[in-house]
Amino acid sequence: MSSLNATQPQPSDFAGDALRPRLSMLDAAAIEYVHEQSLRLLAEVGVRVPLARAQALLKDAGALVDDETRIVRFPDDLIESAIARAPKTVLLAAREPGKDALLDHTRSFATHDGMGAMCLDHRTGERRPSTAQDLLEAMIVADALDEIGVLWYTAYPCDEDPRLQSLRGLQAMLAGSGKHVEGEVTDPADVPYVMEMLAAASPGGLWRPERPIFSIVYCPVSPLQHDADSLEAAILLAEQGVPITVYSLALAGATAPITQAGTIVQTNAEELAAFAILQLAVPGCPLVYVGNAGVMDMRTSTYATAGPEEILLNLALTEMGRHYGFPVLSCGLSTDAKELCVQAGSDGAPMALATMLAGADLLTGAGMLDSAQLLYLPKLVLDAEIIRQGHRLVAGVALDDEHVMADVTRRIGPGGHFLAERETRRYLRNGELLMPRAFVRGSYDAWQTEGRDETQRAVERIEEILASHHPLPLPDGAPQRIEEIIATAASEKPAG
Amino acid sequence: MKEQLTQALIAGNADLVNALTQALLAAGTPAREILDDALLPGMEVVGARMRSGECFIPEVLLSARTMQGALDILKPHLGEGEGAGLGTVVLGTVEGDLHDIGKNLVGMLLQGAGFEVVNLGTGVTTQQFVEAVKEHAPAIVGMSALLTTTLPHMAETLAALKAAGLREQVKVMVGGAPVTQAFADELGADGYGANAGMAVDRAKALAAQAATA
Ligand code: B12
Repeated sequence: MSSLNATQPQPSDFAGDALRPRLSMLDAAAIEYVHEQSLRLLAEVGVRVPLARAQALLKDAGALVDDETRIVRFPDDLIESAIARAPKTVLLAAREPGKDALLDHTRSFATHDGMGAMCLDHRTGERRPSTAQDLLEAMIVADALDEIGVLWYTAYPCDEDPRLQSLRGLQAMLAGSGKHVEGEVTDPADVPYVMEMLAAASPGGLWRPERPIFSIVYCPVSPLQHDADSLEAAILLAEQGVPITVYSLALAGATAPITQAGTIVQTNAEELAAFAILQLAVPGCPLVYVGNAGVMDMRTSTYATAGPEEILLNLALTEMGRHYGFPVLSCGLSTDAKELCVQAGSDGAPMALATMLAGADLLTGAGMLDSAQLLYLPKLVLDAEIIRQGHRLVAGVALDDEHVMADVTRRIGPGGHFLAERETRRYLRNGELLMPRAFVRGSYDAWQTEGRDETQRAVERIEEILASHHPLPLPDGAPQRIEEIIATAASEKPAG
Repeated sequence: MKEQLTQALIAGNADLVNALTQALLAAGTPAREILDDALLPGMEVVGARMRSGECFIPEVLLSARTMQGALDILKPHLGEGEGAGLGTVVLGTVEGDLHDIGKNLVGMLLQGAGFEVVNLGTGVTTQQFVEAVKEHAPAIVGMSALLTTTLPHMAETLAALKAAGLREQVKVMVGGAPVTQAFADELGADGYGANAGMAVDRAKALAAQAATA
């Protein structure tokens, strides 16, 4: 089986003239309606922006700023010009050649779920705070999985000094993978250390803004607010060319209207306002629109990451982002389940497939349980299988004379079979049929004889990867340099 | 009429609750009696229904808000500092943390249960907690943190309360997703709540302790 794995090309190889299935819910009139409603919200209710620097820029650009409440009301043209100004394709560059994620609306790059603080240890079965080692392992495993295109800061290194957890996290991410890494920086004081670490890790020891190997998730605060420190950190990083994923995460019913319509409009408005602020601060800076919102579970008052309402929210918001031409991140694979079970698969897969079919450029959600709070590596391996299915689904059907294979059928005639034909072998090798890696087919007896369940097989795969996979090493001297930078941060940052 | 008031509160019917409260006052019913016999029992029912899953969060909060309206009407008729009688809770999300959904929920339900709540908002520094305890002399101070990076501020605040000589006069409660009972115990906090319902139960127990102490 492993020899097949090694040679099977990416499904995108035959995406050329394929008929690709698409999922769409909003027609042109609906898109216009959501856009108009969003503009009304921004012009009439406004957004609280408690950062003087951003306020000043907004005022200059014609926004109405209430100095006391710090609420900013956006004229339509300010939003429209930000939409025009934001780049329509964004490069999430990789340290390792050939691993770039170019968000240009041609494929979905999958990434981890995040950013939690707990780990279900696949070795002991214990649920405990996540560590730097867990984060490192989550990076190495994802680095080895072709299905994962970009790496997320999936779990905090809780065993580290709280003041340094962002930097320690970045250190583990850079060390554990040659792919693009997306993290979080919410303290402006961390920015200089982050930039030095990135320079050290970059090929040639130099951070190159045109090839950003790192991006961040920036969260506006629903409803209709920003946090001064996080916003400041995002602007400082955008100035350096770090791409920003603008993740407004409303919980429908709690921090947004309970209706899908209300949450769609509010989230879209929040995204547009953040785009406007960041485009004013750093014209042309690369941004990613997030087509996702959460729901509050009204029985337990917890954040629900999955369910039909989330799929509808994702679909509509992904379409809005795509309508503006922005690269879009949306969510799938996430689950509220506490263990690998029917719920975990059923929460995760439909949402992932819907998101991919809607055309999201980035898909978060792999590898966690318990509403994105509990890292569980076996789930990462199993989610990768769902992502492969999604990629295959999105690749669609190549419909042309060659693929109809009428000449072969003519040759074989009624009553023959196709199994021993060269064309069959060729298309098989070209990925016409997906070969499951983690999922089971075959006979019941064979499965029983093998005697290993799904989780066991996933655990074995993880241990195999950890034993044999070596991510692209950092440049010479970089690990030491990074350690020094963090030591400096430890001595300079005020004690916690 | 008191039974009708209790039912209206459970239903979250603000207009009816306000009208009945006014009517009872006009008929000479003491404010204390309206509170103890009609309003607080209504909130008890709502709380119990939430715990049993019959009632959902928005319904509970609607009743809590309705209760607040009735309390505003009763306030001038209640004795100084009498309020709903359970005492004051100072609440805030710790420095460096902006998560406030859970903290606000806890605040609303505490209010609904009869506490006076002073909500300090988010990013509350150790110093601000200490000042607020001096200013409001609460029975309880509650801290919320949702990030592992901001949890240490809870210990700092406890230390600062001690240093200011205030630790003995106030109960400390902590909560937020990464907070556990074990963490709360280690910290030396007096109470913890994994959710808003538990937070209210624990706060009531602490208030009762303080009252008998
Ligand atoms: C919504 C949310 C946000 C919203 C916050 C909006 C708001 N106004 O609060 C936004 C999008 C802005 C946000 C931002 C960030 N977030 Co956030 N967020 C969440 C999320 C999904 C839900 C939290 C929530 O509101 N739950 C619902 C409420 C009702 O529950 P609760 O807060 O736990 O409160 C209950 C109990 O804990 C208890 N309780 C709470 N407080 C108190 C206090 C007392 C005294 C008592 C007794 C009880 C009590 O009762 C409450 C009611 O039942 C969680 C994940 C999760 N599943 O919890 C992540 C989460 C907390 N966030 C996380 C992160 C990393 C961030 C960011 C750093 C991301 C970024 N890149 O910027 C920023 C934070 C920046 C900062 N400086 O604070 C991580 C934390 C990881 C860690 N290290 O601990 C989590 C776990 C993400 C995840 N994996 O899904 N976030």
